[in-house]
Amino acid sequence: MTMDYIDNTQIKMRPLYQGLMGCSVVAAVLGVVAAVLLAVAGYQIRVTDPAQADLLQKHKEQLQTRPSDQALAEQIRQMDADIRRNELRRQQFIHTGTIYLAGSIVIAAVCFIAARSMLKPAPVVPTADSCPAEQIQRARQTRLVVTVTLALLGAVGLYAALTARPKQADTQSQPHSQSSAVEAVDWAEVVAQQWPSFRGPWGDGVCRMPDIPSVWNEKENKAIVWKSEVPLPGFSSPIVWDDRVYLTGATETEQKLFCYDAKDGKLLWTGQIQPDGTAGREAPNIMEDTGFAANTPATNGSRICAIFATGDIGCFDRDGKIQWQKALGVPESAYGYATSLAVFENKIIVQFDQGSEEGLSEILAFNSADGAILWRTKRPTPNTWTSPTIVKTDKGYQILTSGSPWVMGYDPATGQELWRASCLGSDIAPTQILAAGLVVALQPYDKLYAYRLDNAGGDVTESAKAWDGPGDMPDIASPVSNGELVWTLTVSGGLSCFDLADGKEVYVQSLDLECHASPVLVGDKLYILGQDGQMIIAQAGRTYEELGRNIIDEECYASPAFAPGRMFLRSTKSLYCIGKVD
Amino acid sequence: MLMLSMTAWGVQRFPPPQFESGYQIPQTTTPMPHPPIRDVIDSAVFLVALGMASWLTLKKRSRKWIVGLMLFSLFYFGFFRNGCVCSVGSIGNIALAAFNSEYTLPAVVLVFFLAPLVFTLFFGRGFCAAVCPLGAMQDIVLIRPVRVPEPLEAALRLLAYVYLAFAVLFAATGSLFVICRYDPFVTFFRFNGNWNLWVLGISFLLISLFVGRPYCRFLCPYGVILRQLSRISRWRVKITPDECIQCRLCEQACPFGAVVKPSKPLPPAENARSKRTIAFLIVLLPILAALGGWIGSAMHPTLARAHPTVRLANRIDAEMAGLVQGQTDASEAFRASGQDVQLLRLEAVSIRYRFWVGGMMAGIALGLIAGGKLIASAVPVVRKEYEAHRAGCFACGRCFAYCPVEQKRRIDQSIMNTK
Repeated sequence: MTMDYIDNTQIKMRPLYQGLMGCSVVAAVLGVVAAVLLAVAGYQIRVTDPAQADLLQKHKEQLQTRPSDQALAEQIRQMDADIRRNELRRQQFIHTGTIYLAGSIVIAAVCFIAARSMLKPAPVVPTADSCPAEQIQRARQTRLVVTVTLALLGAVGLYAALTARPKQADTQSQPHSQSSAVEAVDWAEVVAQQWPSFRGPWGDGVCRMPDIPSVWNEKENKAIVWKSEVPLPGFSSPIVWDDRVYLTGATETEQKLFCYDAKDGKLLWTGQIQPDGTAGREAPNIMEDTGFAANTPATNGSRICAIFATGDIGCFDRDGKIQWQKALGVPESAYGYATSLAVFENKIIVQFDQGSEEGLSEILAFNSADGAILWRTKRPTPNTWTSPTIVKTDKGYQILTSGSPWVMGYDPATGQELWRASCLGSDIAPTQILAAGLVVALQPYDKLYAYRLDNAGGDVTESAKAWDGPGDMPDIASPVSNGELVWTLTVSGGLSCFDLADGKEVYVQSLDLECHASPVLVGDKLYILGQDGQMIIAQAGRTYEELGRNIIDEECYASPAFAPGRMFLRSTKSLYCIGKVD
Repeated sequence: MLMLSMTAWGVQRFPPPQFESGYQIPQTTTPMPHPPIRDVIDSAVFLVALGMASWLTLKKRSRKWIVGLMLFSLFYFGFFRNGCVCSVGSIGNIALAAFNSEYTLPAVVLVFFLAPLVFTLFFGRGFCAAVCPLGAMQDIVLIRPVRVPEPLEAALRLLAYVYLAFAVLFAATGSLFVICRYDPFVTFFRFNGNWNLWVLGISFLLISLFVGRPYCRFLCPYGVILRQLSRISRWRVKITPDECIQCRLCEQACPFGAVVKPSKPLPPAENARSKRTIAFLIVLLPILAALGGWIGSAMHPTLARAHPTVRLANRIDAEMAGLVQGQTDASEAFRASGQDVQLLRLEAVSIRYRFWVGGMMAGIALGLIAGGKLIASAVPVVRKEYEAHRAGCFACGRCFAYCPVEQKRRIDQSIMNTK
């Protein structure tokens, strides 16, 4: 076989080749000229920006001091028009120049390629075979250079990470929040000193705020800071954010959210959520013991959202202006829908369990700003009366829920189910808590269950079960724990204490109270509120020790809410603020 | 970085007059969406071009025809369609659609994203050879190719993985389509663009005069995917149409360093050493992944600033704290809207969390990829003949004419045709 490599010199002498190369060179030179002119024009535009022309600006300032100077105004108009005309001319020039530049590049490239394609490939001098030594050397060099590049990339990443630490703005200057930072605000920090939902930010009934009062008496007007009337009935609990206290009340025809000033108890505004007027909507069948406002509202500080037994939900801003309202439909609930809202960042979590069998229930997240549904996930449970709670784990946040028969965990960002454990029967009302890494849920009249939250995911009924223990379990009040012991409280006043490590009963104490509100842990004390307005303060220890009793004169069903130094109690008629009286 | 920072200069250049001049400012109008038939035509042209590219690279084996198709693609998909839709940029749409159920992915974008992947899986990188306008732009200006040393080439290719990871992260979080925003050649296609993009595009063109397809080789995020598919493609470009006669004439043919030499087995001692190196690097792999994940997640406050909501929240807080003077258009508009700052902060927190998770995942992926590259460099390869690099070959067809076997095939074919 003979190689067909010919002398390219002959080809280069051909007129076509020379013409193409000449054309390419001319086009390239024109392109360079166009590029230079464009650069000059671009520079001119930058330095003579019409909005920053000093002289024009100076004249404008003069005109402000002499508004009647028509000659100056005319001069400004003329100057402004000139600058704009020049600007437009330059823009047109750049547009045209760009076309010339691109055209010349294309022509130069095409001619050059065409000319080069006429040439035959030049023979190359063969190199030696790739020997093993060369391969080894090349592999080592590659690893070295890749490692150096990796180190450089890592250094850039580290620099970006280390310089990412935000400037801390003065949060005190933010009128609507004393608890948010500029950057990387963790939800736990935001709600640390707030009581944004049923039983506090984590739904566990543990108050982590300082200076909570332990002695008061309404008859003696002792430590009662203020008392305000609640216009509508409701069993829902109050919530607190900064200097505002919110609670709901409703009847068959009215559904309202009340906002009180935490300082003096003044009713600041009343927000109304209009009952859904959908034609043909059946009147909800609500038990009197549940009422239309058993669901505790929730707030993230910006929005305050409330839901009622009718399935009507709405959100208000801090000034009481309604932002959005939706009708989810009257839930099919045997005793009336009573589930409270949970809140996580901008998400309002609605556990909408209904129906006598599974298939109708779901959990939804609404954007608190506009009511958009951020996610919704079907739930394999019939109607329940428990509430969702937000918990913080080492791996992030989770939503916990209880329903027949599942205790479940969800991802608050996506609504994706993370795990589930089957243990519950029907008619569940007490809400689960998280204590020392264990999710504690209970089956009324039967058993207390504990599951490890740090589980493998999926169905963890067997794998994550820590223990279960029999006992006189309540059917309304939720448990509370100090991380070592867990207490339950029945309506008839049966206070049971269990060891959180193994679920063994530590003691049972019969209290002379009828209790509907869930017990609360404040420091090392249990706060147990009776229906008659008495609150027992007991030592949270391995033996029952009553430390004192305080009383208000009205019936209480709702669980208390807290702010630093203050406690808020809702009675059937009033809202009480208890704390140090100035 | 300097060029990226220059975007900060983007301000309204022509404010309206501050006094009555009698001029009526016209109403701002929104252009009508283009008719759906255009998407159908574009998709059809794209598919035909992909088919032709595959045929030209595998069957016809003609560099001239490949160049012809390349110029057509440059004109049609580049200058005529203004560089959009583009397979490279479609990564952003796909990532956004994957992580945001509210975003509806246009069918034409799906076609432009999927079709080259499918074609590459079967026929190699014909898309890069003759259909991608970005590749064509660089290919036609390559005058004096300089060979990039193999170790440097391997290292620079890491940049494309980084670019892909962060492009997906930014798109998935709804922050920006970084690939489209910083497309270096779109300014040429549209005769329009800000100063930074012109500088970026011209710089790439100048580099492309001497370094073959620098964007494709060292930055193209779509190329990263195509490379992996090309490794397992059913058919791919071969330098010689028949058996390699080891003439070595093709050694210098490829300006992209994609012609790989034959290599012999390592001596036993070196082989054992290679195995030890590989074992060490495998142990190092999880450490690299963990380190990458940590750095990626730690970068989240910086990365999250790409999101307009986070930027606005930062700005508002900085203004409220007196850290900055004046207001931006965005902060002024936000204040005028009466929206709640606390809500804005909470949204920003939620977005930063997404960046924390996404940054960690991107970091872990990059750590694993880098570790994989180190391991691959230590694996001894035995190769009997000169061949196009499975992943790196753009199927541009330059090497065909260098092969004497190919020359003979062409002569035989022309004789057959004349008969």
